Amino acid sequence: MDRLIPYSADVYGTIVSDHNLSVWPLQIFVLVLCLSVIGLARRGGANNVALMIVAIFWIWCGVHFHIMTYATINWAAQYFGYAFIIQGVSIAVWAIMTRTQFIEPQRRIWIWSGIGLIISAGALHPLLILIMSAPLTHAEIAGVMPTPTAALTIGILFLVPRRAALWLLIIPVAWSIWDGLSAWTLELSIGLVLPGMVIIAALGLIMSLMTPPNR
Amino acid sequence: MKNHSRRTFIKLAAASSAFLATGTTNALSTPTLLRKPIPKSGEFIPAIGMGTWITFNVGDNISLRDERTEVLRTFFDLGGGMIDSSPMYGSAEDVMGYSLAKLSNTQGMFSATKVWTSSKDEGRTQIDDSFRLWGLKKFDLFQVHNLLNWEDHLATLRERRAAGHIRYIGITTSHGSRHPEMARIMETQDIDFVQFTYNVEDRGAEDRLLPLAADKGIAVIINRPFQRGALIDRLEGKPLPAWASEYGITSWAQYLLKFIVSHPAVTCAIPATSKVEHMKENMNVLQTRLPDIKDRGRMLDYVQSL
Repeated sequence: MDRLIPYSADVYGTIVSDHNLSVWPLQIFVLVLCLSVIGLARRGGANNVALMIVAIFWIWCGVHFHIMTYATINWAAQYFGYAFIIQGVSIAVWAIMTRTQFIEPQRRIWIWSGIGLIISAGALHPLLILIMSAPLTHAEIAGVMPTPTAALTIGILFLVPRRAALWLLIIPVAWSIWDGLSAWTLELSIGLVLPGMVIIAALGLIMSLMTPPNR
Repeated sequence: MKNHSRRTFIKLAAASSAFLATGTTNALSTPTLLRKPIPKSGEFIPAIGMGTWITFNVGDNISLRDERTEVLRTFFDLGGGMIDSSPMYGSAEDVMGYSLAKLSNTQGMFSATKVWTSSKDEGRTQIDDSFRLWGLKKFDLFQVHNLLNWEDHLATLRERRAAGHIRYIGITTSHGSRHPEMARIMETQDIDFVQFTYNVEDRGAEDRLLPLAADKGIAVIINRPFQRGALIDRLEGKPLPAWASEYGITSWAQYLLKFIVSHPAVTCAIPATSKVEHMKENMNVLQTRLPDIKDRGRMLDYVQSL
């Protein structure tokens, strides 16, 4: 695996930091959006807006992080970027095609799981950064960095009152596996948390689709 | 370029070792530095070079690029020669070009890079890109990285060598499983250099590749001398043997490098570092005595006993 990671942990932290600083203070606006999608996701009609916001996040991460930033140290990142753009477009198309669908409300456990995941996508990593005394500019939040965006997506899929498409989980889970393995190789323990949450949440979403909704 | 036989190569290797032991001067500009001969031409190069895998892949961050420039400055100031890179190493070639442009002293540089693609046409483009990124009109050495489509790329490199754009051509691998294929290429192709992994733990090359290189008069570059730092991490904190000081060894990095470059078939080792202090430590190996065959055995026994 180390032959697939042609950079050091320090350099990765620096490019994440450079990326965050290049868009600051966009993170504040993005954080507000992340919290607002919690309310939007549960409302008829407005949940399309929530999904479109997430779709834009994926495309933005694909272009600005992967292709324009990460690709300067990892040749594979441009392909990650294409995958993220495809994911963003897929979410948007799925949102439009299923906009008239409505299913009974999910069980509370899944709703609270979705809310917890969305909050984590926005706030968990910066909190971990502060606890571990790492530079705050290394923090990853949804909409700006890939893994929290994947976490936000699964959180949204828990909340929207329509039957989630399992194929929308492929890229978030695949990316999280890669990100987790990279963090493991670079011995970045903090980098294991969010990918782990995404993978567990994806399994939870699959389980939620197998349990009948509340009556 | 002359094609030296094995007998000539051994004479050259013995001469370089004797030259170091006695410190006698000859036509070389820095008489006390450890240099080893390239068998195909008789040209001598410093036995410690520099790799750029991971260490020079720092993207567009100017501060990190300037730090790497200082590492490179130290390398040249201490008599460094071979610098090895590859398109596989992310932005390393771009950063190398940045650093070279900033330095006034690049005397003695032996530029080495690779072509790394399965496509012949893409290979030609990659080769041109390397010239542009490094800012060079001529490369000393161009290699086929990890044997990827070596048939097409060696043909391209031979064309470029005939045109005078490249001085030497070679092949590389860092996978022990590719050694049989590398040996076949060494036996059948006209190449000047091979590059593979060899260190106190990864010694598979002693069985076939190193003797074959000596027999064929092919220069040998050693990559991953520290297993990407893992060897040093394992040895750190353990005492060096008392007799290590006979060879001017003051750190495990120097111990590991001395073991490697004291093999008569090895031309150059290319440790990679992002730190000026580590570069100084590595380059110090050029200044001091090499162990002989008996002492190499003692070095190995000591590490294995830890």
